[in-house]
Amino acid sequence: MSTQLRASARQIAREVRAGTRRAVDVVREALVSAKECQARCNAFTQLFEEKALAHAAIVDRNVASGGGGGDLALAGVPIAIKDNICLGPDLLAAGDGLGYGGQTTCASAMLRDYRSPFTATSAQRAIAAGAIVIGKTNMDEFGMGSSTERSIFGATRNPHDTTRVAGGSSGGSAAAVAFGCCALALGSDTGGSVRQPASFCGVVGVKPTYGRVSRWGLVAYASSLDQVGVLAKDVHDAALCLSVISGHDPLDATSADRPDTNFTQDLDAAIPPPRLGVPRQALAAPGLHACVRDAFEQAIAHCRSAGATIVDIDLPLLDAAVAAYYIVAPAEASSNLARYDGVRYGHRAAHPASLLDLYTASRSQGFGEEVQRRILLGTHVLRAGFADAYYQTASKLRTRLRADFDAAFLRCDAVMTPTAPGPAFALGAKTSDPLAMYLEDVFTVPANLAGLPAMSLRMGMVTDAMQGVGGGGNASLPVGLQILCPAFAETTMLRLATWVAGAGVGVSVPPDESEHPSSKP
Amino acid sequence: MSAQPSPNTPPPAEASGATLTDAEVLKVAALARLSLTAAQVAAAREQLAGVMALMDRVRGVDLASVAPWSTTREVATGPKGAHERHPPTPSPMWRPLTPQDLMQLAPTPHEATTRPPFILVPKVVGDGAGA
Repeated sequence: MSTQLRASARQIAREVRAGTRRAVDVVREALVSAKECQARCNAFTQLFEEKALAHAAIVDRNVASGGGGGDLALAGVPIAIKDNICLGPDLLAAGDGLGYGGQTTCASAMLRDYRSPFTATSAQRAIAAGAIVIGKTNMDEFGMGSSTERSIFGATRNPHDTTRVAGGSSGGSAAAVAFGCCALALGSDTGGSVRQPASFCGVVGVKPTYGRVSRWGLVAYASSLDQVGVLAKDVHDAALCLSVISGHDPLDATSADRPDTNFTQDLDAAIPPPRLGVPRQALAAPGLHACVRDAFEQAIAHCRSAGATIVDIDLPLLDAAVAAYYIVAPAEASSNLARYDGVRYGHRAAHPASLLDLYTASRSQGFGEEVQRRILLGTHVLRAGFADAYYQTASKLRTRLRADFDAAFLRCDAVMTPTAPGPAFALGAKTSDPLAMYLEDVFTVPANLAGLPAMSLRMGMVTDAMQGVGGGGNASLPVGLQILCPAFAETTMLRLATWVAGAGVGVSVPPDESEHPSSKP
Repeated sequence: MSAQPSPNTPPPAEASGATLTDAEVLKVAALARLSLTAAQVAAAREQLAGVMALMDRVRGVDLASVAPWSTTREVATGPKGAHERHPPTPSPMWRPLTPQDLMQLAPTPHEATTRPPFILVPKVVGDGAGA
């Protein structure tokens, strides 16, 4: 039997604040579980054993001395941080001389030894609230991928079936939460990188509205799309973590100054039966597996039975959105990643013949295959004479897509789709076919293009219709339901998610211990 | 997707994935400061062609009267009039930078008194060969 944290983040924090449970004990348990998770799923790029225990001791001391520990929203809660979110040597407490530090690798040879001099605002806020960082999590290199197979640390495996991927690019964060070695994890979502792995691993994944959470310290991939997101066991924990990390940050000029940053209030309060929009294009999406279609239709039926009004809506650009995404994201990536030239930081090639050779050799050696492919794509679509045809057109499509969503939200409170067209696929099944991998994002990229909040929660487990996704046969795999809401309507979105779960749509944490992925051999 | 003919700016003929050549791939790679082997060029040409065909779907949409998504600030707050129930408080961080602001950020402006338009840029690599 594997070790796993059974308690929610809220329960852990409550007990640590009350002094009935020591943060050190929680973290020790989490680290044992993390090592098991690492052996089975390769979810981490590094573990902070000594530092996490030392930090937990600080939290315990603060609680015992009444030195502010009683106010910590995440007191003693083990959290994992995706390895593209910077952790610097910033001190955790005055006089202790302790900071997390470590590398911020983005799972790339380019940044294998990179140590950030500062800590990302999102991570800093979690740490300031008492969360204990147990480790950095594996990911697709620079966030470019949908399977967490494109990593210098090797692929992350799905806790539900280790012959399958965990999704990506925040696959390590999703696997760690699903395994039960941490209550919370931070990820980043540029085109679905929090929600799709959440779907594959059966946990809750939240991508906030663009601007809701500071991007300061998140290594840039596509700056107009990137957002830090949350992975959690359930909606309440996700709401708690989002409340902690959101809010205006003067260090991020795209950070929004909003008064509503507490998403935990009245989550379970009764709400009028919602109007839920279902795009008619969703069930006709390319590559949609029959098992996901069935689970989605069943989820809709549950919601209708519970009183929801199901609204047929038209989002005609849903199909074109993935094409627009693969113009905008690579274009911005080609610009953002131009900084890795072997001069300022990152991998530097040995014995270059010239400065140009230094640039070219460093980048060719440091970047992996998928990153190079996206840089090539982005460079191509931004070339003189091409930018209008591609980038500008894709940019216009974003405006139209947002207008379509705004029109839809006049008729419904939220839009629902499957999170991904299929369940977790077999390791290696799509690595040689980038187009197939890109189409994994068909349901998730619209939220990023339109800057909207969206989340994934489990809508069921599928045990049949595994044909076409490979793997070990009759696995029981989770599939996710995606909920999208108007900009800055996270409160509504999270309340709807609790309502949907209450309507009988798959709960996020398996109630039966035997179903838990970490209990499998 | 709209069935109307696209009024969007037509790309150069070589933009289409179907007509992407090895020379085009090498040209793009040079611009991106990446070196590709012959095998990588062939693979990249094939894979880029597939992705470009996907991208061409965008060019089939009628977007003639639509403004481009202009800034990330707009993304955060939404287009004018849309879901603007709580307009954000203006932040000092968002004021436009002045030339004086930029000069304060510039490195070592010690020549400013004798040659005002110039600043000293520190050497960043070796002897500067090739720069």
